[in-house]
Amino acid sequence: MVRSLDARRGGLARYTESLVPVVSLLVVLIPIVWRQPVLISPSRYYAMQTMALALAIPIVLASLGQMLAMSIGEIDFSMENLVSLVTCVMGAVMSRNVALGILLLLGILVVYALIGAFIHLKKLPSIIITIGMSFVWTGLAITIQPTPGGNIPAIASDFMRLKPPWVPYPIVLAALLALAGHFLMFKTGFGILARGVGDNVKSIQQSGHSAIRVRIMVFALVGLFGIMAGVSLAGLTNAADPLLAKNYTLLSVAAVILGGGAFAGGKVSAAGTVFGAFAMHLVVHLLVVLKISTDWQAGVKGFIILFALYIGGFFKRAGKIRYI
Amino acid sequence: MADAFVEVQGISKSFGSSQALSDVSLTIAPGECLGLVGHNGAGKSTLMNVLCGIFPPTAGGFLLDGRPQGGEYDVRIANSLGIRAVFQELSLCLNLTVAENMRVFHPEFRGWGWRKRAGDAIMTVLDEIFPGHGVRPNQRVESLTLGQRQELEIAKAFASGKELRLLVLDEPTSALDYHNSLQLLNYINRRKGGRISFVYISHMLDEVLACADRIVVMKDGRISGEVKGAGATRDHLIELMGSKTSAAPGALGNGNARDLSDRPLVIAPKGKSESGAGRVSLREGEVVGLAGLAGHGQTDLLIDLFDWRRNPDYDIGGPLTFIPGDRQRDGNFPLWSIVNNITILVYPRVRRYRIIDLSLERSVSGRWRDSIGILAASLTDNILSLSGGNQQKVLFARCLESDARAILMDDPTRGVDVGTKEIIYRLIREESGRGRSFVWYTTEMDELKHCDRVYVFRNGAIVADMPGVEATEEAILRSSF
Amino acid sequence: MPTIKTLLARKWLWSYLGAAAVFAVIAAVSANSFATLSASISFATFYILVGIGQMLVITTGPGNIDLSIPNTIAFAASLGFTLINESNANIPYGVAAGIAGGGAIGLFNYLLIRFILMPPMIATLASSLIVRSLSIIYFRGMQIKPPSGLSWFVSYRVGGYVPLVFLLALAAAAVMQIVLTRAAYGRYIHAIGQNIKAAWLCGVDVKLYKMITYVLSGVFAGVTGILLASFTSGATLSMGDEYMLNSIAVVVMGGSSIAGGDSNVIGIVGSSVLLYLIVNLLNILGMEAGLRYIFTGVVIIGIIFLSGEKMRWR
Repeated sequence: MVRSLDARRGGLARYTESLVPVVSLLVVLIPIVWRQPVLISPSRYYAMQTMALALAIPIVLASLGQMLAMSIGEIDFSMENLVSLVTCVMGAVMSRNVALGILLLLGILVVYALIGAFIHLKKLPSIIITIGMSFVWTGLAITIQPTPGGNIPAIASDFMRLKPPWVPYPIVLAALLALAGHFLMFKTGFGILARGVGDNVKSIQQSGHSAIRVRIMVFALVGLFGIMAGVSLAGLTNAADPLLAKNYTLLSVAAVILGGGAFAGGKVSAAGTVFGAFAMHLVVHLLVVLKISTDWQAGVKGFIILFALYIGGFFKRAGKIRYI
Repeated sequence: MADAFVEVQGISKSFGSSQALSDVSLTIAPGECLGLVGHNGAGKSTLMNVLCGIFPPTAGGFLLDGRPQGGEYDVRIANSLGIRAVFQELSLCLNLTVAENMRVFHPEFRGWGWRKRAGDAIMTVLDEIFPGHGVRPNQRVESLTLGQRQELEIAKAFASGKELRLLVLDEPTSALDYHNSLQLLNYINRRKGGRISFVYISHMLDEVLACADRIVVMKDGRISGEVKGAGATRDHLIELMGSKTSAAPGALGNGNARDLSDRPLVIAPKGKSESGAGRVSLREGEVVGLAGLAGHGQTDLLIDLFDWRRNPDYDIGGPLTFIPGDRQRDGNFPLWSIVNNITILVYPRVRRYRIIDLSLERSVSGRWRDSIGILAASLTDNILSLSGGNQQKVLFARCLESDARAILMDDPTRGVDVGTKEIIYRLIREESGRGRSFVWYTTEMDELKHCDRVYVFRNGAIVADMPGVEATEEAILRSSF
Repeated sequence: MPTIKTLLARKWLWSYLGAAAVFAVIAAVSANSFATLSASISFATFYILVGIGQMLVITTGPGNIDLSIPNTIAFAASLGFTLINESNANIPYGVAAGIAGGGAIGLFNYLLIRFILMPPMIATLASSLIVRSLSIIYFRGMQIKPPSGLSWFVSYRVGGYVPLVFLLALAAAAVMQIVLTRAAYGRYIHAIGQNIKAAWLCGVDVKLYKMITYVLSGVFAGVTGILLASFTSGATLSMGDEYMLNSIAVVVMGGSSIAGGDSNVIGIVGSSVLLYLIVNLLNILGMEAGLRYIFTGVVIIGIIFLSGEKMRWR
């Protein structure tokens, strides 16, 4: 076995997986806190903190969905289209006919479960199926809500504007989501099986588990997280728009990778993903407090990804890498 | 035998047009250790896959504890009836911890505290079979050595809450070194005779002879013979497997030393070694063997030699090529035809006006097919349509067709049948006669007799070197430990 | 003799069958079906060029996808057109700058993959974000007008029907098909895509060929940017956006494996034409935009389903 061909990993390398998300968040957070300490000071600036952080929640949810897909080595390239579609369902349907709206959302879940089954049975690559689905979701969104607008049910916006004491609500939500995600992936049998499928499907099947069940469940959960992202985004923005979640697909992929996940499957971190999503979201505020033109918003996101992965990969490079 | 645990009745299995098993019948008694030997493609693994419920037979069936098993029989049922297998290909999930892997394979570890219970269960078994294994329950499997993974794989089968009735071991020692292999064989010998039956499949006939009560020989999907374990001999088994005995002619063998000291060096140590450890040198036409326990730095040296531009320790005179032992991982291009797999090193030779000439490619490949007998319906068939041994022949053809002065071989006969091995030995002999040099890492003592010089490895360093004629099994083992 | 079965086993064939079927429907419902075809293949030209670049990257193995193509297109076009400044005399410099800019982004992508050890999708995503900011800052997101020479060139039709750029794209596809199947470079990137370790052990200079591949992808995107901006009357910031997913879609619909090591240029031509024929057909039928999207998605999935891409994406 040509073991030495693989990048050798030193003792420190084991910790780099948790290093990447921390670095990515600190890079963004430290300048913000330094220039605008109100963001961490206690309750006096509560509303401001909530405002600044709230829009991270839909990204966190979408990223957790993407994380689930990536845990089994798949990817969802229709995330932004799905999230946008859900805002349209919320705006155009839910406000008029709750039953129909819920039915539509359930339909999305069923389609996602089917995608999981399809990918398993036909051995089709998820990347290309979800590219196809991205057109379908956008088509549906345009059909039910051709132009931005809509009327989001009050319950969604009310839920997103709860005010728990002491800690800003978005932080509470994010912490809960990170905990839930961690529990799901690392403490439940499902999470272990999903990560197992991401690493070695054959052995999961040979040990008597049904890989199709795992894939169906994973994709149904991807859909569920996408729906939650859409509902929260609609609640926060009070808008329904077929393009509202633009860039969510790539942002969510970046958040998972910044969180220490890998495309190859089997390697994910829920807390890291939440950190990564926050880092991506806070870039706008970073530019504001540093008085940098927002023209740089995309570029700074790029640089943060570069920097975090550079630091994360630093220790791996200690070994010999023969080819890339 | 009325009290047999397993009674296989006329099982056949075909994959498309190829018949992997035809009308195989077999019984396994409780507590028995059955040795199963035969060439690659003789049907051993297929038979065991059927028994473990991985795929159903095309015809025939089998009884377990006297009860016939029908069409719904699958891995899950096999597992619940106490049938488990350790296959050549490891089944662990590398990204999961040892305890999590236990949970995947033994779903009874659930509810509060499963992590601890699963960890304790696997540790107990590991301590019993492989004392001094050094595995911890919360370690990720990817951080274990190959040997440790194999140990874990074996221990996992014993460490279930449910009863184990039959354990199939398919080449269990391929990643284990000599010491651990002995531990395993000792453990099997201790456990057999109880309720657990074993099926031991291996190309290492000595291991089979060391533990089996009864040895079944398979050939071309049928059982070609059966002998009692006690009193069976290597030669008899090889005869039943249907090949000539592997007493290789002694052109390079013991007692036939060649004097190559006047030949130019192809691989030469450069400068002074910092650590004082021994280093390899290789002369034109020489065959150098790397010995020692598995995983003690032999492959690393081969890779370091191959990546010679970044290697400060050696002067390399001329191009090198590399023949891996793990074909699937390191050798094959799985979507390509046999032809494309052969010609990748020699594009300059099959091009006209910078464009690859298909007919030239085919003629180069055809030449090799004829000279080393690559058994393929057509050379444009996919490489994976070949058996393992023939895939290995393709890798040899690829490297020997090139103009490399030295060929580095990383245990090239791993999992290869005796017939192919003979061809490989012949090729090495012929090519070294023509001035090609070889560095040959092998896990089989037998093969060292083809070498002019043998270097023994321990803990990543060369601890001894000796001329091939002096390289006795005893001398090598003495240096390895 | 190829039987029907072996023909259908050729994965690229399905995109051609799809295109033929859609054209048949167009011919049935529209009086000037050839004008529709002509318009479709003009647009398809850009898919073909971008698709070839994306395909080269995908060929080099699992996970290799160039997500920077959209912003490379916009950057190269903006850079080229800014230099040209609507003067025909400056066209050679502008085109060269656009191509060089695309190649430079490709090189940057590779350097990130090589030295920061980033997964290719993340590397190309990060560089894409940076390039987008550069485009915003240097070109202010304005629509930069093409010179008349380029506009004439991209809209010239041989014999009144066949766009010249389409013929050039076909020529490029033919050359790339030969390079991929019969030149050492093509064989090597296939080898890398199928088994990178085995390729390295065969002495293939993995780094060099991967670098060339990423640069080529950038170059194809750069060329596309210049041509597309000339065709659509100007370079804009978001002109390339639709090419991110579509460039992957045409490659896979054309029968290349998303897992790498198995590519097909012929199929890209078929699937590119198919995608635009569908859009035009639905336009002729007067379908709403929403339905057009849905139908496109269904066709993409359908073609993949029929051609039976079997490798898992990793």
